[in-house]
Formats: sequence, C-alpha cells, structure tokens
Amino acid sequence: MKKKITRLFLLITLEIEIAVLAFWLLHCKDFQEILHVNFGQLTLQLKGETGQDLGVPLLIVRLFHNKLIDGTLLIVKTYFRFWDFLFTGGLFPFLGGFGIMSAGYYFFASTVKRAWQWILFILFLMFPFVELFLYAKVPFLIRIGLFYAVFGFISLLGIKKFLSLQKWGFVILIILVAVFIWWFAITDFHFANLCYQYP
Amino acid sequence: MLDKFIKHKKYLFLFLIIFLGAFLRLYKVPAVPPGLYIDEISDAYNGYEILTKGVDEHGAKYPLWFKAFGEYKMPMFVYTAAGSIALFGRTDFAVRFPALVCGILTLIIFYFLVENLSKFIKQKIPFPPSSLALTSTLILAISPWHIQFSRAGFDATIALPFYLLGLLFSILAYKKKQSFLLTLSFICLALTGYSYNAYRLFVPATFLVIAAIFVIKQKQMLKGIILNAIFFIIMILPMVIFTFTGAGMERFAQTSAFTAYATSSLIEKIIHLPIIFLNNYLSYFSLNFLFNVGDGIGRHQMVGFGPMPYWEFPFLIVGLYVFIKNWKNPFNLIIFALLFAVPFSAAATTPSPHTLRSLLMVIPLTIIVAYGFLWVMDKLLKGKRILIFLGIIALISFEFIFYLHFYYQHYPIINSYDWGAGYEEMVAKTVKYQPEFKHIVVDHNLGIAEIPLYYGFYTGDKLKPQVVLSSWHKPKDWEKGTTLYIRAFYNRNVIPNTIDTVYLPGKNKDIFATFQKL
Repeated sequence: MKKKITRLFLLITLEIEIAVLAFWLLHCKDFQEILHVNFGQLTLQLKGETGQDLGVPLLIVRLFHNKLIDGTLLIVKTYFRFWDFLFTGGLFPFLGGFGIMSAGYYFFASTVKRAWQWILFILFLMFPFVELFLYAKVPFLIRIGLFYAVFGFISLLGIKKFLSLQKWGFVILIILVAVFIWWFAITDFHFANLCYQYP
Repeated sequence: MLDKFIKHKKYLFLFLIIFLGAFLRLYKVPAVPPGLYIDEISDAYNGYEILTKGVDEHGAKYPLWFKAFGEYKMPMFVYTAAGSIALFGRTDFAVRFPALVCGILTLIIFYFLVENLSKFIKQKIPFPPSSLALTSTLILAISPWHIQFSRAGFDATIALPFYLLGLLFSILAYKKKQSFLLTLSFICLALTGYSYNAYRLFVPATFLVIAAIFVIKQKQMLKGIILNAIFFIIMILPMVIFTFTGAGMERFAQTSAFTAYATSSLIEKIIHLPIIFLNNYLSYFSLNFLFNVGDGIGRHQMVGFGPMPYWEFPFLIVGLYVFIKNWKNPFNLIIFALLFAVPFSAAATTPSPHTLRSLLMVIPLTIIVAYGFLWVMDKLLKGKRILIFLGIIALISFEFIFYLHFYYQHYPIINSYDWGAGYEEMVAKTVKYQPEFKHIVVDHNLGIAEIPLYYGFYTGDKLKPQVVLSSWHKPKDWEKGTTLYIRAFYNRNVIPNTIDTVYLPGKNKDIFATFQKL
C-alpha cells in the first residue's frame, strides 16, 4: 500500500512538473535580463560610485569600488535572484520545491553521504550559473530542459524519501497538490517579471 | 573553559556590544539619514503642538489617535517625541531621539530575552547558552535592518522593545510563577499595540497564545491569569474598538493588498484572495528581499542592499537546518512561531514584502543566524581550523565596513530625496528673507501636505507660507518685488530673479528649491 501511495505521488509530481514545463515552453521565449550576468555596465556603475566619494581617501575608494567587488556582487545578486521564491516558485511547481527542500534536509541529516548525492548537490548549487553566464550561448529550450531534469530528479528523490520516513506525509502532499492546482489555475507566474513572452 | 570564561565576563561583553550598537545608532545622527521624512515631520509637529498647546495639528485635545495624511497614527511616537522636544528643543535630533533610545534598549532587552529563552533549549548544544545570547545581540547590533530603523523616527522601532519586553516578562512569569510579572508583560504588549499599526492584530494574537500557554501549563496561576487577562482587555479595548471604526479601518483600506477585489463577488474573492495572500506571505522569505534589494523603498534600506548582509546567509541555512532537525524543542518552536507569524499581518498589505512592517522578523532571523554561526565556529575551532575561522571573521568585517562606507558616504547622496533633505535649510532661508517680503508662497511640488508641517515645526508656528499650485500666477494687486516664491527643482539659470537656491547633498548640486523674487 505504502509503495503504491509513493508511486502515485511520484507520478503526480512528475506530471505536474511536465505540465508546468510545457506551460513555460509554450509561453516563454527567454528569461529576462535580471537573471543574466552582464558586466557591460560595471564601468559606468564604478564611475557613479567614485563620483560620490568626494573627500574620501583614495585607498578606501579603490578598496570598495573596483571591478572585483562590483563584479562579485553582481554575480551574487543574480544568483540570489535565481533562488527567489517569486522566480523558482513560478518556474518550478512548489510541490517539486517541497521535494527539493526535503531532499536537501535528508541529505544533510544523513551521516553517510554517497558520491552521487554529493554530485547532485553540487550540480544543484552550480546550475544557476548556466542561466547566469551561458544564456547567450545555450538556447532557452536546452537551459530550461536541463533545469527541469536536475531539479525534477532531485524533487522526486526528496518526495520518495519524505514519504518513506513520514507516516502522514501524504496528507501534506495532498494539500500541496490542491494548493498548486489552485495556484496554477489563477496566477500568471509573474511572467512579466520573469520572461519574454511570445507575442 | 569557554563556558566559565563567558559566565564571568558576559556582562563585560554585553557592555561592549551595547556600546558598539549605541555608537552605530548614534554616530552622525541626524545628518545621516539627511532630513526628517514625511512621517517624522508629522510626528514632530504633532509632538510640538501637544507640548505647547495640548492639541494636535487638527485641534484635537490630547488625542489617542493622530490624524495624518488621510489616516490615523498610533500615539506612542508623538507623545515620546513631545517629551524629547521638551528636552532638546525643535531639532531633528529631538525627533529621532525616542527611536535611538528604543533601538539601543532593544539590544539590551534582546540579550536577556535570548538568555532566558535559551534555558528552554532541551537538546545538547555545543556552546554555552550565554554565548548564544551574546552572539545574537552582537549580530543584532550590527544588523543593517535594525540599524536602519533605529536611526530615524519610525513607529516600528518604538514598538519593538515593548514587544520584546512583553515576551521577556511573560517568560519570567512562567519560570517564577509570579502574576505581577505577567501584569508587566501584558502592559508592555498593550503599549506595543499603541505604538505601531502593524501590531494591532499581532498583539492580541500574542496575548491569546501567552494566555493559552499559561492556562494549560500553569494552572496554579489561573486566578492571576484571569485578572491579568481582564486588565489587558481593558487596556487594549480602545484600540480594538478604534480598529473596527471607519477611521481605524482607513489605514487598512489604504494599504490592503485586496483592494483590487473589493467589489468582486464572494466566489471570485475566495478564489483569488488566498493566492494573493500566499504570494505576499512567501515574498517575505524570498532571498531577493532578504539579501538583495529589500522592499525597494529608499528610506527602508540602501539601494542595492538587502536588510540582511550576505555573510549571514550560510549561517542562516545551517541554523535553519539545526532548528528543523530539533523542531520539537520548545526554544526552536518559539523562534519558528515568531518567524512565521510576523509576515501574516504584513502579507495582507501592499506593498509586500515590506521591510518596516516585518521589522520583528529580524529577531528570530538573528537568533537562527547566531545559532548557525556558533555551530559552525564550534566545528571549526574544535577541528583547529583557525585559518578558516579568521577568514570568515575577516569577510564579515569587510562586508560590514563596506556597508558602513555606503551608509555614511553614498546613502545621504543617493537617497536624500527619499528623506527630507533640503527642508530645514529651505525653512531657515525663508526665515532669513522673510523681513524683505510681504508675501511668501511655496510651490505645491515641494509637498502639499508636509510644507505647513516643516514650517510649523522649524519656526515654532511663527511662519505659515501659502502653498500654491505650479500654475499659480501672482495676483495683480500684489506689488512688484514683494513676493518670495519658493519653487521646486528648477534650475536657477532658467528662472529670472532667483535670489537663492537650496541644494541636495552631493557634488552634483541637484536643486531642491529655488527662491524667486516676484
């Protein structure tokens, strides 16, 4: 019985993820620039910042306003934006998001960590860099496909583990499925902020 | 060893942390942030009127609610501002003084709150409980979120120490089983309700939770609990009644996230409103909000900075992990309850997320970060990885100094217009030129609602210029050269007969106001 319930929920999660992926593919041409790292404006930004440093010792100006600091901050900001609820919550169904959080929790909680688990964990952390840096070289279709492959797989692992360890875990999942369908039916997934839509 | 050391020196450490916190909150106030913003000047003027005439700007005698800009404000800030104006005179520092004091007091109360709460930690922790209180206080002392709101006159800053004191007294009452402490707790909670609008729902909810815990767990105090509950209800009754009046609902109507669906059918509301609420609620936990940009309002944080510094992120994750792992622990449950409850009332409002309305979130988040920090440091020090430890401390220090550099050097320039930079100088120059002119008029673009407040406060009601629309023309019967027209933003080269200009801070010399002789 438990196995059947687990299989059922894995199937539901997978189907929901495929449905949302299809939804994105049908509506979206590419992600907005806010998710892409572009160093083009750093020089202008630095000029603006140093222009406000009237009377500040040159050493301090150079210490705080240089391409290394501003470039690093730009990458960090874009990386954090990628993990924004409003982004991942729109791009990826939160039922899957729950699976990912569950996978993360059990990964940290387990005393023995296998090599493939570490690989998946690193892939997960590194994945946004594909979007951040390779947006001009890798087509949107491949980028979003890769995203769903990595995130989808981890989410299924997390849900499987969650159901195997939590006796009443399926009740939480039923609530999440219901809220997701509700959400999916009436929100526009913040399209305007996230992606360029087809005309 | 560490345990003993901290036990003996904890008050010395606490003193040093409070000293650092006080310095960070007092240094260059009121020059940074520059000028009183619209709500501060409203509180300042009302405080001054209460002090000198016993009425508010609308003539109401010692009111409990202050009408301002089409809504009603809570009374605590205005009355405390009246007190500090009596002490320091009509200055920007006087207006900000109550928030400064409350910001520093918050640190002290926070320390004792965490120390007392730590005693509820049931799991074995790798560090002494006092070090959690000290580390949490240190992190709060250098928290950009708390520093930002402690340096200017925000109602929320006044409310925070009262709320924390309410929690602290209730914990002490629970431990010592003394009704008197519960009375103090409920008084503090009631005062919180009268300090900031966002607590109008949160305070009664907190009271219900505390009362329920006492009724279930401290049955021997039942008589005291009932008496205190009645006392609390009497104290907050005016606020509750006011909340459900038309005037009380105005604030909610102005900021409601559901206004767009006000006229919709019930079914449409049932379908849409929970999703709007859920969206808003989740936005308070978004990394973009917490670390990248905050709520985007220039008064609430610097441009390009979130309310939390980046260095806190890894410790937040570690802290959350340890907290979730031991979620049944009473300590962790209280912190989680606070963290997840705060955005509930804020999520019903727009804009969401909102750094000010969720200021209380800084408390549980700081404790979780401190917990994660101590956990990591313990592992590093036990493993004798001193270099990594020093590297982390160096990174934290660098980010903090980077923040301070932007705060003191760039913020007053970039965000001067979000504050009230320029108004004090404008009023001073008007006073200077006043004897030369028969008529003084001010362009409404300088703030139709706030111009009379700035003139009223800075001149002590001695100068009340006429506010006019930009399309205003001088009446024909006014003699030439007798009118001083104060205009907004215009370049002095464009306007003939300009006699003076007020500039915003910065080398660009952006014009705030020009003085024209008509």
